Amino acid sequence: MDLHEMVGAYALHALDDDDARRFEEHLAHCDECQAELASLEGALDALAEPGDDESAVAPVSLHASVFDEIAHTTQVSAPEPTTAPDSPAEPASLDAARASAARRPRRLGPRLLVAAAGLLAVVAVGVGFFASGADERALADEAERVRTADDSIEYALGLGAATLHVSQAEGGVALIGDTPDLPDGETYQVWVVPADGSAPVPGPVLGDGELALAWITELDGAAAVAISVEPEGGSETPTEVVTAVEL
Amino acid sequence: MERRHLHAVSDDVPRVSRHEPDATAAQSLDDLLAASGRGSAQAFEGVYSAMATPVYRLALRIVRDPGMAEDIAQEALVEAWRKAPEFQPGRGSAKTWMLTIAHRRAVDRVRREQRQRQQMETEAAVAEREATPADQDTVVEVDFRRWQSERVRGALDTLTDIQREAIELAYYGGCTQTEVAAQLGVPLGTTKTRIRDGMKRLRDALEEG
Repeated sequence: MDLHEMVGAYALHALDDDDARRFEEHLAHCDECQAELASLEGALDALAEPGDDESAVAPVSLHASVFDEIAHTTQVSAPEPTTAPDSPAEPASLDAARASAARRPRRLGPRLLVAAAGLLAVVAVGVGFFASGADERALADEAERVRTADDSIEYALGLGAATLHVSQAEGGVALIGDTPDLPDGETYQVWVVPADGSAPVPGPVLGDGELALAWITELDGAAAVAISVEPEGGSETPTEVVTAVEL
Repeated sequence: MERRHLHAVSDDVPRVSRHEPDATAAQSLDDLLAASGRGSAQAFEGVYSAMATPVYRLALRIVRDPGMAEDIAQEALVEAWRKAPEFQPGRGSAKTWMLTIAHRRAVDRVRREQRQRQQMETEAAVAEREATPADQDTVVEVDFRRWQSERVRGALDTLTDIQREAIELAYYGGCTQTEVAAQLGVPLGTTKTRIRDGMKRLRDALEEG
């Protein structure tokens, strides 16, 4: 299959996740596609131009919701200015936006989880972690260890200002930051979704608000980490997955 | 930053912030987004006032629901703030960069809703696997033309019908190339080529116009 042919569809976000990933791998090494993609910027801007009879304006409420959220949203760190001598040419900014969009958490439809759920019986270990101040401090330390591990990767969750940190070396995930309020009687729960299609492995439950929590668990063969909303105490299978990050 | 000559900053002008350029001065959107990337929420106010409506309108065109469009606009603007440190002025415009984020978010939403709808519609996972997404699409004729400015409509008119329809279904309809192929009844390979050629032709027509 000729990957070059997909450059137009890629520019239009018309590739499914698998194709987009394959194309991005190709793009990183293909100067031609990088150039072609960059040349399409004007055409993409034009498609986004408002129509002649379009008068909708951003709602007034949008301003407050954006600025409230960015007040506690941590920015990514700036990319390294230097590149290794044998690394491919840095992509133009459009590509960079695309590539970073690819690292953004993908919301898996509940389909994946539901499909996986029936296959294996799982021992549920929904553990309430916030027993005492001492435990909380230990967990915060653990979370910090995962976050600062050399191989740690940070993912945005689209869940308030909370970020997910994954370290294979530490064998764990950490959730740090502020999660949106939940109604009484509901709680968040973390899951590891195995790549082999077996049932999601339930992790700790966590409250809303400010938190720093680590979950040391088996990450070999994990396809994704998901966060769901559950009744208090957690569940054995996810009820409502609100966000998921592909590893 | 060659532009910032030392003598350009006069000492007796009160500065709003010691670290950031004054966001109230006339600055290009690119500069404002770059300053946002250094943590200036004030600069991001400028970005917001230039881009909130274009971002919202784009989202509205794709999801066609004001509440959902506001949601997507919020997500996209917050993502732009979060990723602003990655934006490099001079390597593409801030406007394209932000619209790319907004479009991606809107398309993701369309696909997610579609998946959820399909899931509700099908009982068994087996049946679900057998059904191709395009088969279940109700073909809704949407007039994409009203979403285009005169300039863009003129440029799109230079494309073949298949090229134009493929691009419209993908960009405004949030369809994947596979779905576009099914809706237009042409092979996937042909669809890819039509989209690619169409985008190049659109680019050239806009440059000429």
